[in-house]
Amino acid sequence: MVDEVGADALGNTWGIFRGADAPNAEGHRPLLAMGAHLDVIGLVVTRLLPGGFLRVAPIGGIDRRALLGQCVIVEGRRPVPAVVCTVPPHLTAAQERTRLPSFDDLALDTGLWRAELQGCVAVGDRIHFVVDPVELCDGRLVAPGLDNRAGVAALHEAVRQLERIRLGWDVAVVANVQEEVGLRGIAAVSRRLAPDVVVIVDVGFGDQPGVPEHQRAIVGKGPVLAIGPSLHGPLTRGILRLARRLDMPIQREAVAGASGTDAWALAAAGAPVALISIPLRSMHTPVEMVALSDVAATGRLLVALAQEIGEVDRCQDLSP
Amino acid sequence: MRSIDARIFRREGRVVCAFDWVDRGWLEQLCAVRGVSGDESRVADLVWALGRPFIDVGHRDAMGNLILMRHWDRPGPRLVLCAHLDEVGLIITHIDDDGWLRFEPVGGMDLRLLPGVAVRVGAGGISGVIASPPIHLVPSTERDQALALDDLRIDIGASDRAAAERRVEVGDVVCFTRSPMDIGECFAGCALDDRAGIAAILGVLRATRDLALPVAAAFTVQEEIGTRGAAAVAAALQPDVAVVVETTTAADLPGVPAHRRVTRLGQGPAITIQDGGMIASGDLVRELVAAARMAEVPFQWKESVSGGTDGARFARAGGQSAVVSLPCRYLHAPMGLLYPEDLDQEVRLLVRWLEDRAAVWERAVNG
Repeated sequence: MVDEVGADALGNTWGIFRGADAPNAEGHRPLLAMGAHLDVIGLVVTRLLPGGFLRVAPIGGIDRRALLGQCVIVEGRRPVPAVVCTVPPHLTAAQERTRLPSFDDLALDTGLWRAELQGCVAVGDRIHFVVDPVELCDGRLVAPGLDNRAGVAALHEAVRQLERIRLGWDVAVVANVQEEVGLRGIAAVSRRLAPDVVVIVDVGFGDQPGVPEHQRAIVGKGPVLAIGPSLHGPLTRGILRLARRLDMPIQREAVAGASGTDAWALAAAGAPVALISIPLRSMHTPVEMVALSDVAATGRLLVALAQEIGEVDRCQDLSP
Repeated sequence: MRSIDARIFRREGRVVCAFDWVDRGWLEQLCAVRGVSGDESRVADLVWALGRPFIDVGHRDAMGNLILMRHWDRPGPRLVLCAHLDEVGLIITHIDDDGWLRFEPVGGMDLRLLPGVAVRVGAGGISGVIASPPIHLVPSTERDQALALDDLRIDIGASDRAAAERRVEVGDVVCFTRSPMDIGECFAGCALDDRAGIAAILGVLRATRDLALPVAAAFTVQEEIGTRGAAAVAAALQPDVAVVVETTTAADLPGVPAHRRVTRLGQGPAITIQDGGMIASGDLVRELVAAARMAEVPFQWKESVSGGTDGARFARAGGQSAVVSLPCRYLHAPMGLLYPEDLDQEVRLLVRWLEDRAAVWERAVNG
């Protein structure tokens, strides 16, 4: 169990393990925050139509190319299953079938009469995909929302191990909200906790056709450490050295500008920030895929980092 | 919304319970079993098991068509009810060096439905997904563009070609994952085209066990790639009358104008006048309409001259032929929707038609 738990009005949730190090002269105890976003992409009901149909808008950067014909659940007064409508081919010209309908033209089919629909679905209800999680061969897991439940799972794995470990620094484990709609949650958390070092755990592009070789990490070859101007150099190098010393698998990716993750939103925190990603295929579709071994390896790396953050910090002279 | 009013009126005005004439369990089993064109034997085995109590003899021909017969050697016009066993799917055409599977569609399919779909590959039903590269890498000006076949791969998680080859082979067929469920008041399932037709014929066979008419139920293969199984059946049986029991598009969707909806859920089975492959026999259509009126079965016309069915093969074999279809939304997609009462009404219509036929024959024989 963590020593403290906390939450804010936005919905961010965290737990803190208290470390054994003595506070410094100003009474400050150093804090490492490890954050993963809790939210997933989805849809929201914008309008109820006659005949049991719904109009919807996207929450986050949902991939319209992987939306038609999908089965979803509307989180209404009760869970309401629905299908994303598709217009049959006889009504569309061949060249139209190479274009995707806009969200304005998309509808969901709940198979319900309007009167009944109004009793259980309302404008503003959230909608998520229904694909049963399935393990493919070679330990690959497919499920909707692995961006970033895979990161949350890695944090959870770290928490389980941290319970049994004596720490020096305080370590906060953060599950933050609203990343997919603009990196909103993490900024509030960092203001609240004022961490000295932050590590963000998210997912990154895995190796698949359509992803250029220079932008991909190999699924199954371990977590990916981001290197770039917006990420703290000494901290990043310290993590890389730590992984090598402990013989843990690690991949590198260069990030020239915005990483598209919570790590980008932490400039105001003024703390060193590092980004660790789990390689993931088919991002923002209902069939996101990760290697279970990468999730576990990420958890182990986080534990090692929490244990040795004092060393990493001292070596690189990160102290304020 | 005229169609909705009609449905509500009908619900209040009638007492036909859903799944009275067709067992829900049949439909669930039929939709759960995999059977892409060319790989129909699992479906045929199931239909044989379900249909056996209602027939005299049955056999499979060399192509895999399943024919169930009753009183076939009796005198009188020989009637065939026909539904196809197969469903649309994919076929593996190549295994890439890094373990990705390339595929082509088997049967007509809107490729826009494929990305992000969970599938089963080969006889072993290996789990896989149709991968879609991240939208983040697509420039915003190109995000309306659908993915082409060349952009798509099936991912079974294999880390390289050898790992993939241990599990799948070129030529393995691929189907959508299947879990029939209720969506609102509709039954939703995979391959309703044409498992719903099979279920309807089973319902008809059960309800007409006492009729002494020569009847065969033909469950055909390879319909989706060009009505090939039915060609063999029509040639072998040479029926006097064939009624193909199919599913057809219900485009009663937001944004689709009334004249392009083809059929509507909840308004009963659809009767075809003409489609892409045949002109239905006028006399037979009139018989079906008369049966519907006598039995007080609501029916609708298929309001589009499009598509093709096994009926074209029977028409070319020289007998009378017609098509009765169940309106379904989202055909050839991972999840289709039907309205259970439509299925019951379809069975009632066909049962009444057979009863009328039997009565006419009896009068003719007895003077």
